[in-house]
Formats: sequence, structure tokens, C-alpha cells
Amino acid sequence: MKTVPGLALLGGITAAAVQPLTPTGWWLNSGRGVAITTIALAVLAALVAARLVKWPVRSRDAAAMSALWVGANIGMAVMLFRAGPGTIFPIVLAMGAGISALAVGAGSLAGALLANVFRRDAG
Amino acid sequence: MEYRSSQRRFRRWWVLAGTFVAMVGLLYAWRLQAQVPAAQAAPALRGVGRLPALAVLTQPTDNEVKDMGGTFYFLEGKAKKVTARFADGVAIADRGMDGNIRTRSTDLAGNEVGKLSVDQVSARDAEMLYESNGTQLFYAPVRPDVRPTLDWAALQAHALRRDGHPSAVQWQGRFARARGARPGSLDDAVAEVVTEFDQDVTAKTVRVTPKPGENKRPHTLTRIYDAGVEVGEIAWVPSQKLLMWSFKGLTKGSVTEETLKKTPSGGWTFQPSMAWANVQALAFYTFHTRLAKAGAVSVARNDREPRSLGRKVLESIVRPVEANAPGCDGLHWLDGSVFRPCCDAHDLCYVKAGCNQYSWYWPPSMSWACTGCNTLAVYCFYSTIAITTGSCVYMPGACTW
Repeated sequence: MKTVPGLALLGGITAAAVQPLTPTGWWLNSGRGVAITTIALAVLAALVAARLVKWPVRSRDAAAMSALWVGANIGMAVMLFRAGPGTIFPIVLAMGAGISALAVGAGSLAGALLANVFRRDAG
Repeated sequence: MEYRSSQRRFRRWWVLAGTFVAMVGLLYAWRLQAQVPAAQAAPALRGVGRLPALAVLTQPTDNEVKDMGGTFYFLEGKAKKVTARFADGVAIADRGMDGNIRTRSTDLAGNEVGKLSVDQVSARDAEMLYESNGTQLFYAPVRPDVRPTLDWAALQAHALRRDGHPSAVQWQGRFARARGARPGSLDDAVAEVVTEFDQDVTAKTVRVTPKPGENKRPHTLTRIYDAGVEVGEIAWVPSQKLLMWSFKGLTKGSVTEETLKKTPSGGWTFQPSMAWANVQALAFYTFHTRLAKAGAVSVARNDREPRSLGRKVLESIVRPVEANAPGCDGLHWLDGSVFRPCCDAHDLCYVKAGCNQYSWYWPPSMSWACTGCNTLAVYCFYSTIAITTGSCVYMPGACTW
């Protein structure tokens, strides 16, 4: 269970670190921001899943990837509140949570599947 | 046994992976669909009238149909009268209390030469009747994707007059014209547009042609008056795609194509017309006046209010009074999408009730009106997602207002 807080922290730091790279400093303000953050989260999730998630996936692995997603959302929320949350911030956070869930979910599955294929080939 | 169970699990994960890929695909498909303006997304809903529809010229014209967005139509709806002056006459369009539009086309001496009546027969459908010298020349439904506005009616009436009062017409872009392609933008034929809004606000746009030797480019100049007093002006320079504005004590600035390219719009998405400039002037004036008033009220109220320790800590982290930018704050990615009206309605609601984002944290801290604004915004987003994803059936009541 040590991985859960660690992954949450990793997700938070990565998501927060990506924000200054987006055109307006907040990912949901532009299409490019959405693309950059989504790709960053998916790649991070794929790397983490490739390293940690063993096939078949257990509930502990799912919890680890969920921690990554929750952490990423906390990191992004901190960045949003630092920049000024705007008048519809709960809606913004909900939208962001949905899109980041897809990114982390897709990345995790891709990473786990690829790692499984390579492990099988190596074995 | 163990092998079979592992095989079953493996299959389950493949199903899950497939579902995720399908979800990602759906998200992008939905986003693309969401970016299409509502009027274009559901054209089939309109134009179901009792009159036969006019033919549409298939080749492109200089007067193509353009959806100007919910905010424009909301503000344009505040106009009571538009007077458009041309080189050879005048068209005056009036909006009645019922929303129907009556337009008179006159010659330079003021003699009526044509009359266009546009009646809103349902929320989405309109019909138009054109008469000249007391004779009905045609009666037809308005093209489904055309949203009748006062300036459109004025240009339409003038176009029919220029076409020699035809009885057989076809749609050429957003205007019904005599058969046979009629090139040229009708907006270019206007010399002056005066828009009279409610609450005694009037905007007037004229063409300015620089004198020889003057270091200026041709432009249009809009002046807006509140109870007869000039309160601001806008200049549009078509050759540079430059818009400049100045509203005393409210806002001053300029925007170019390059500036807009850095925003989600990606540049001018339409060619600003003189009637648009009048509506834009009203937008600048009313929104900035309200924001200035609401901002002052909010700041004063925030300063007056006693603060708890928690609130003080919160304010040290979060900006106390956040500027309310046009569009979807923090979600400008969706500014050009079907969600935009939700954001505009929420912004207006905030301005009217003098709210800021604190109303989300603790509703009674401001007024229950602010809670109403927030609830409506959430409901608007929720129902829009339900409508665009076609999931209304799973959420009964989410798609009705």
C-alpha cells in the first residue's frame, strides 16, 4: 500500500508541472492544453502501469492507478486555485476529472497490456 | 481450472480495454459534435412549416449563412428598430412586442416601395411576406438555418427592391433573391446603420473614407449613445482586421487577427458588419457597466464583511474577487461549443445578482440568487451533456427545462 500515496504524489506533481507548459497556464482553456495534459497523463499512467501492474490486474493495481488519477486531479486543482478558480470552478474540476480519468484509464491499460506482451515474449 | 479462470479474467480485461478505447473515441466524437453550433447541429428540427420551402442556390455566395452565437442573438433581441441607409434608399425594420419584424423599404424621398413582414410562427420557424405597392409578391418560410434579425430584414427588403420586386425567388446564402446568381456582399452596400435598443440606448455606424493624403485606412465608426449622451465608440478597419474600442471609464483596447489566433477562436470567424458593430457596442457598454457596478458592490461587500479565520486563510490562497471573463472561465476550450450559452447565462446571472465564486463554497454567504445561478449552470451543463451524448433516456428529466 506504500505505492498509493507515492503514486498520488507523482500524479499531482506531474499534472501540476504540466500546467505551465499549456498556452494559458490551465489545461482546459485551450485545445492544445487539453492535448498536452491528456498525453502527459496517459504516458505517465502507461509507464506506471507497465512497471507496477501485473497481469491479470488485481484490485490493488486498480487502487494504485486510481491514486495516480486522484493525485493528478488534486495537483491540477491546486494549480487552478493558484491561478484564480473562475466562476464555474466546480464544473471545470468535474470536466477535468472526467477527461483525466479517460487519459489515465487508457494509458494504464495500454501500459499494462504492452508490459504483459513484452513479459510473455521475454518469458 | 486455474487456466480457465485466468482465461476468463484475460477476456474480461480485453473487454474493459475495448470499452476504454470506445470511450475515448466517443469523447472525441462528442467534442466534435459539441463544437458544432446548435443551429447547424439540428437543422432538421426547423423548417417544418405549412408553406413550401424556396429553392436554395447550390453555388457559394457572398452572403453565406452564419451562426453568430447565442450572446449575439440575445443582445440583438434587445434592438427595437434598425435603420439601414443605402445609396438609393432606406430600409427600416421594427420589432413588435410579439417578436415579429415589419420592414419598410423607401426611396430617398421617403416613399414606401416595398414591405417585408417576418412572422415568428414557432420558436424556431419564421415566415416572410413581401409586398410592393399593395401587391403580395411572395409568401415563403424563412430558410431554416437563417435566424431573422432586424438588420437581416432590412438588408433582405433592400435586396428585393434592388432585384426589381420579384415574385419568384430562391435562397442565395442568407437572402431570398430573384433567380439567377447575384454576386456581392449586401453588407457592403450599406452606408449607415442605426440600431435603437431598449432602455434608450442607440448605436450608429457609418463608413469613413479617408480624404486623399490622410494617413488612414477606410473603416467603419460606431458610436453608442445612452439617453442621447455618447458613451463609447468602436472602429473596425477591414483591411487590417483590426477592431478598436473606447468606452469612457469602462474599457479601452484593440484586437487584431494575430491576437485572436492565440485564443480558442483562432481568428475572426466572421466578417464584422455594421449591424454587428452596433450590437458589439451594446455588449461592451452593458457588460462593462454591469461588471463595474457588480465588481464595486462585490468588493465593497467583501471588504465590509467580517471574516472568519478560515475565510482569511482561504483568501490568502484563492484570489478574493475573480474577474469574470466572457465565456467559460477555466473552460475556454469549450467557448465555441454548445456549452457557451450555459456560461454566458451564468455570467449574466452573476452580474445581475452581484455574485462571485464564494457563492459555491458556502451558499448563504452571498445570496440565494447566486445559488440559483450556480444550480442552473450545473443543470445546463448536465442536460447539454445528456442531449449531445443522446443519454437523455437514461436520465429522465435531465433534458427538459
